[in-house]
Amino acid sequence: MTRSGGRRFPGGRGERKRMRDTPCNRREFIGRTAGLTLAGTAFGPLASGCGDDSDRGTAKKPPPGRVVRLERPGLLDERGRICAAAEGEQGAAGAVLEEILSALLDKPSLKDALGALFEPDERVGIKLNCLAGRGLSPQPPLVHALIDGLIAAGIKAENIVVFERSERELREAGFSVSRKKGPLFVGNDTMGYERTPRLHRSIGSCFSRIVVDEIDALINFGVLKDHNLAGISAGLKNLYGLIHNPNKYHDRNCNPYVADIADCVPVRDLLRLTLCDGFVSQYHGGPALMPRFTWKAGIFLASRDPVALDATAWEIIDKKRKEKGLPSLAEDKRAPLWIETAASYGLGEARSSEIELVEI
Amino acid sequence: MPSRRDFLKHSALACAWCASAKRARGALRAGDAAGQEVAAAEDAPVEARFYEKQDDLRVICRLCPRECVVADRERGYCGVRENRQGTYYTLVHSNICAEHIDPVEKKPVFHFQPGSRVYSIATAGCNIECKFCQNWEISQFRPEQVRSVRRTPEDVARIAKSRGCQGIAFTYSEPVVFYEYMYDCAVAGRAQGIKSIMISNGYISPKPLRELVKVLDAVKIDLKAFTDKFYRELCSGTLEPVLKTLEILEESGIWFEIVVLLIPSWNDSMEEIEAMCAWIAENLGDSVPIHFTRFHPTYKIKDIPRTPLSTLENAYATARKAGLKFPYIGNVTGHEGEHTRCPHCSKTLISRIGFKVVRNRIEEDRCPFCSKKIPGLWK
Repeated sequence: MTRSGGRRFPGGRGERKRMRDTPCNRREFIGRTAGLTLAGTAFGPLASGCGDDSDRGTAKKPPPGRVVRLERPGLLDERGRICAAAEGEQGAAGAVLEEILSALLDKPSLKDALGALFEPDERVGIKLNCLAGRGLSPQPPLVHALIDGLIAAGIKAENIVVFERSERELREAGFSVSRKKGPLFVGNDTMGYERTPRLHRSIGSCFSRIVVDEIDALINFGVLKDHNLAGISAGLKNLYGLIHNPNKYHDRNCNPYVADIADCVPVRDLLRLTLCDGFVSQYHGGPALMPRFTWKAGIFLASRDPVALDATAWEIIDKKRKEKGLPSLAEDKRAPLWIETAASYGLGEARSSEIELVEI
Repeated sequence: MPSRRDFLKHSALACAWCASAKRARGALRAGDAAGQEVAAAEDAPVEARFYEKQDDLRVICRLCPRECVVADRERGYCGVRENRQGTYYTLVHSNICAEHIDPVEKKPVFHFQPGSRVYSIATAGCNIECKFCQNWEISQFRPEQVRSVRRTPEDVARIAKSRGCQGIAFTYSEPVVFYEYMYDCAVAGRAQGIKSIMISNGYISPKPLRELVKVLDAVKIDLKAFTDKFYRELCSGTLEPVLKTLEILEESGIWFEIVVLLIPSWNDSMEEIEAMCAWIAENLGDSVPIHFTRFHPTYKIKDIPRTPLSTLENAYATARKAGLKFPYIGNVTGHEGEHTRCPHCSKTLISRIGFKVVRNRIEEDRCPFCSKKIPGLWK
């Protein structure tokens, strides 16, 4: 019985943990301790009085309920791809990201917004949802613009890991796999999973080694679509792609499993930002792409509250279903009740009356 | 009864055998040089059997009682059957992740060619999830998450024959999820004079089961417990379909045996075992061998101690009291409950230590002492 062992990136979190745990002799120990003491003495006061970076990391606790909804259907070409704008694809996508994240984090620029979320020495993972292939996956210009923003905010390119369950899915969504040079584009199928399942609430799963060993923070980058079992897939449902056995957790419309995965360490500790590409959205027939049920919504959602984002997405999908004469998700017996479950765990705000929806 | 000297000798042999078996497994298992490694099992799919097409490219799988409704690009609960544009595929046909040559006693199957060797194979996947699964590292993973080698059904039959195996055992994970492959291997094996044994949880729908038993020679079913509560809470399944499977096996006339893993505090009450044995005696007959085996903490159940020997012995006695003629005790090497006794004259017919047959006195299919027929397939 063998399981793919996966690979490790040099300098990843697992590597650092191993370095910390490496036994050392007395001389080395004194050397390291002295170094740390000096560093603390020398840089402690400086760090606390530091001007430009004073609010770095202050945005890590998600304020419940704030969701920014951007709507720009005019940015799409006839195929539903972001093009428009004189500055080209990347520029238009960059402008979208700058606008939405600035509004979310009250910052003047994309660089400042992302700088408030991530430290320069952190490794940042971006989990995409590419199951439906090109046409209903996060659009490459948006993902590349996000990467550019992270680099501008001081994150090293080699410390950015864009990933999906399999590299095949990444390729089918229009991304090039890159396993050596950062930013990395890799699949869990290459990197493997941890050896022992984590037991938490209703789940028992091995998490991707990318999540467990290689990153310090996670951006969840989903798409806005209907899901035949979970009701919707926007933010939290995409986290199924972090575990080895997602097929075990689709009973009862994925409730409470979606919430339980989100509540499990390491996800709960790592998740800093949820983005949802709804430029092309799908109101029925998901999670695979069914062109006749898609519409060029031109929507993009961002939140640090994953529950509020999903609650907002549910409303959008249900509104479109009503417009098309379809039963609501609840009437179709697949209401995403895991959203309320996630809220009950303290992962965010599910009540629409309490969600601060910023429309731009 | 073996003497003390015999016991020690055979225990030592059993240990040596286990060690060599482990080495053999390492040499034979997936990824070895003899096989072509399959980098991506999903790239060579075979269309699944027993499914129905639905609207919006969805399918309903009719292979097991779970009856998953699977949307396009999604998989069923087993993780090895995938909907691609409304056609349902098995991703594990000819892609095995474990192979090994075992004595048939290891399955355990005691009344079927005792002492014979079986070429044992598995693919990834399972249609239930037992929290005490010993092989969770393959049964609870998807095909692309485990290392696999390609073995066509013809390869499997040829390897079994060339290695001196009398049978092919579909085992370790859950063969129901690789139904099409198992079926094709059994057909290929039969053409070579090789028998096929399915080691299964019995969680399969009646129609595919009835077709399958036509090409199999023996079946071992894990009856996890005799309460639906156990199945729901510890296995993500239900009891009723497994009982139905046992009834179909009985009707079909195929040789089958039952294993019950006794987990302290979960399924080891004598009331439950008594009810189970009574049901077996009434519905399947008194000649079905039933193996009560010892639980060892593993996978998601690590806080329950291994089964006390007294529990196994009580279960053994309960089965006898219920009229079952062939109860056994398993996972307790050297215990008398491993031996086969004549239900008529009580003489020991087959002595075993661990998975090793020490002595087999059965002549043709009869007890040499009282000449009564002993049910099973002995040659």
